[in-house]
Amino acid sequence: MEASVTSFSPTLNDSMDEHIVAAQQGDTRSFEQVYKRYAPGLMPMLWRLSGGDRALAEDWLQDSFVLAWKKLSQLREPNAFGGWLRKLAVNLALSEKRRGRLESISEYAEASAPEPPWPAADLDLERAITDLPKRAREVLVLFQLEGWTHDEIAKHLKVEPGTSKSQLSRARSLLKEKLQ
Amino acid sequence: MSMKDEELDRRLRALPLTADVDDAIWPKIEQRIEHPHARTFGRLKWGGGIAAAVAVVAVLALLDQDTPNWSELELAQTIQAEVRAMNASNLLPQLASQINWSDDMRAAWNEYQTAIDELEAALELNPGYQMLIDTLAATRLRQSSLLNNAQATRAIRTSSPTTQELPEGVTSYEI
Repeated sequence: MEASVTSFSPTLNDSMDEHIVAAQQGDTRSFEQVYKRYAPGLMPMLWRLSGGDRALAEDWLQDSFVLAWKKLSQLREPNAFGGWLRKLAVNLALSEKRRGRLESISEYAEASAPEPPWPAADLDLERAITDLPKRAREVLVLFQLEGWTHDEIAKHLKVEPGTSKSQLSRARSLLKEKLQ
Repeated sequence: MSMKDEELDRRLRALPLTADVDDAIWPKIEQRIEHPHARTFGRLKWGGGIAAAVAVVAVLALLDQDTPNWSELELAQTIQAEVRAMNASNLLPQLASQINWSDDMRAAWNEYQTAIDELEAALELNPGYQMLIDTLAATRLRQSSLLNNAQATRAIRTSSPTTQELPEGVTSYEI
C-alpha cells in the first residue's frame, strides 16, 4: 500500500514568513494574507473528514484559523506554520470536544450524494470516501492523503497502530468494492 | 473483477488537495479574532431571539399553573438543576442527531455547543463561579429551546425515537 506524499507544505517565501511574523504581533491584515495562502489547502481535507458536510467543514476551517490566531505566539518557526496549522485543524475535526456537535446532515443532503465544493474530477471516488464509516474514513484521509504514519494516526486516535492498519485495509476494500 | 490496488492508489493520488474557499468565511474569522469577547454572544444572536421567547413562554407557563410563589432565584435554581440533569444524562445530542435540521438551525446548534464547551472548560478552571454556572445553564436552556423549536416544526425524521424509546424515567424532552 502506497501512501501518496501529499502533505500541503508550500514553499514559503520571505513575504509569507513576514506575514506570519507580523500576525504574531497582532496584525490581522497579515493574518488575512496567511489565511488566503493556507485555507485552500485545508478545505478538501476537512470536507473529506466531515463526511462531505460542507457547512461542518467550513465551520472547522473557521475554528482552525481562530485557534491558530490565539496560539500563534507559540509558533517558533514561521516556516513550520503550514504543518502546525494542519495539525490544529485535524485536532479540531477529530476532537472529542466536538462530541456534542451535530455531525449528521439534513435529510435532503443525505438523500442526495454530497457534492464537493470544488470541481471534482473524480466525483465517484470523492463520494465513496465520504460514504466510508467514520473511523475508516479518518484513517484513509490521514494516511493516504495527508501522509501520516500509522503510529501518528494511532497516537492521535488513541488506538493501536494495528487498528489503524486494519481500518485502512477496510477503507480500501470498501472503496474498491464501491468503485469496481 | 475487483479494482486493483494500483488503480485505487492512482486515483487517490489524483485527488485535489486545494480548493477555493467561500469568500464569506474570512470576515467571520476576522470578526472573531478582532472581537473575541463579543464573539460568543454575537454569534448566538440568531438563536437568542427564539431562546428568549421560549424562556418567557416557559416562565409564563410555569406561573400559569398553580405554581407556588417561587422567587426568581428558586425558579432559576430549579431550571439550572434540570439543565444540569439533562447535561449529565447527555441526551440532547442523541435526540438532536435525529432531527432534520436546516443549515441555519444546525449552525446555531453548533454555536451553542461551542459556547457550552468553552463554558465547561472555564468552569473547570473556576469551579463554583456563579456567573459561569448561570451562563452555562442559560446556554443549555437555549440549546434545548432550539431543539424544542425544531420539534415543533415537525422536522423529526420518521425514525426518531418515540416516547416508548426514551430512556427510562424520561417521558418527554419538553422544557
